[in-house]
Amino acid sequence: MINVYVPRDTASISMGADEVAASISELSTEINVIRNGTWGMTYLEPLVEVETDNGRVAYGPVSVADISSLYAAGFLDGGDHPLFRGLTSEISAD
Amino acid sequence: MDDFRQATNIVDGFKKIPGGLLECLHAIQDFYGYVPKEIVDIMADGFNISRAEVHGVISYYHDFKTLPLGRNLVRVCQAEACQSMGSRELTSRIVDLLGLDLGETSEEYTLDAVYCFGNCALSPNVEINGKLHPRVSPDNFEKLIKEGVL
Repeated sequence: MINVYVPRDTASISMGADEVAASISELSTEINVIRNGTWGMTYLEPLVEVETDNGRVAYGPVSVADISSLYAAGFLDGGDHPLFRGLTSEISAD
Repeated sequence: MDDFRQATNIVDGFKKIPGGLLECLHAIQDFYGYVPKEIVDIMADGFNISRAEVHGVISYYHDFKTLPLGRNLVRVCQAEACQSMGSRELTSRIVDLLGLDLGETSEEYTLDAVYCFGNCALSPNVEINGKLHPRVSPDNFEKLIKEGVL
């Protein structure tokens, strides 16, 4: 199973996180969508994280319209995409 | 017109719970859409407290309504962060579009002021029928209300 984290705080939900989570769940039965809290980087919400061998990588801000291109770019393996933010723990504000 | 028989069942479900009045009021409001004044007596009897005490709790919390709402509930934030991002202009537009001032109700709409949804980073915020919409400009409110309102 691939763990994918989608926040469910007020800000993320207001930016469509519920729809994003539902849309990601429909991609594959191998995906385990986990709803978590926000890191506080509201400008990137909904911030979708994928657990990879190298750590948690982030994509954001993700809308439902981005899901198909994210999937095509291999986001489930940490693939590159215009919304790719690298390892979540290394995101800086600039 | 409902004869409020269901209210007795709802009150019975909460009256043994310490501090159950608040939960009971939520349940009543979920069922009726507001807290009918006829039910104050039923709650006072059920919880063995005075009608004044029930009224005191209802009137303390703005979210408990004592009159039926319009078919659609529009709540617009009036707190500082949203004001700094244009909620006054937004509110003026909403007032014009709905033909209601803050706190007023028509058959179709209820327009309420809210003092912070906790979504300040995405100001200004408007809630339409329970769904929160961030960064609402006066121009896209009209679009939102067409999408969100049944």
